[in-house]
Amino acid sequence: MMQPSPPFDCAQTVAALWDFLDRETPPSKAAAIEAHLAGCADCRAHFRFEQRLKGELAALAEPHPDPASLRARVLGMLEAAGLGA
Amino acid sequence: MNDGVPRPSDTEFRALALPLLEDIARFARSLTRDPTEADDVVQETFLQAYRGWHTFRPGSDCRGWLFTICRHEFLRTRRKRALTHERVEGDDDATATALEHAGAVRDGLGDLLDRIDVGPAIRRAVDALGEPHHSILVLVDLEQLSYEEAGRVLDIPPGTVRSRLYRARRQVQRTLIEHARDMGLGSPARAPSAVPLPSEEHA
Repeated sequence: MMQPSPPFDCAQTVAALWDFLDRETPPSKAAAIEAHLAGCADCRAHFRFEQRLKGELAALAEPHPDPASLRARVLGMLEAAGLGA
Repeated sequence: MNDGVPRPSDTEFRALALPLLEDIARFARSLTRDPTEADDVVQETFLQAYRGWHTFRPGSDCRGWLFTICRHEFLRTRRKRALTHERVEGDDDATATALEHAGAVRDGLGDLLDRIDVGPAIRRAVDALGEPHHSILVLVDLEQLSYEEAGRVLDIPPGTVRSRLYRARRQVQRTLIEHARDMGLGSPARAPSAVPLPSEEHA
């Protein structure tokens, strides 16, 4: 059975925010962070900033504009190297 | 010798590795920041993967395996051009980004992500990161790998991924704050007073 974490203060919450946003926090600790954020506007401000920054970073990932031509190029090279059907 | 009969491993390579080409292409573009260089890195990644296919463990994470090869290829090409220096740094404080955010709030820049053209500014800040911090940030924040998965790609423990990731994000945040200040944004008179510095509040 999951042991609940004791309540988190501001320092503990802020120190754990990145792990929380990265989904690297165990459920009991996540619950303590969520409970603290629900009642602390200052820590929510940090959380929202880090959440927004993480979202902006994720948006930088660029799909290849022409994957079909890249695939043809790679396949051609691999088949020249011996890749069978 | 290739006798014209497809080897089972070739069939598996087509089934497991080739469908990941777009993932590797996206990763390579994030690493190189150069579309032409990225395509070359992708091509070399798949050639090396094919040649080393016998070393791939069936049932393991093929995407992570290809990410590892891709990053090695990226570093190899950059070393040729002497543009990359891997630095080993110590652990970083998890509260550092929040402390910097609190400082920005005091300077009236708490909403800086709404006040600057954030996409290009973040792109420049990420591009300015050195290795291995740039790769770690790309793996976790752009490719959404867990600390453990990123650690396997980079052959470092998850705790090291974590501390270096914090440092990378802190550097990005610092660059954004400096960029906002250079633009003349921010004024102490606009600063809300409520956001505490955690280490001061709980010292």
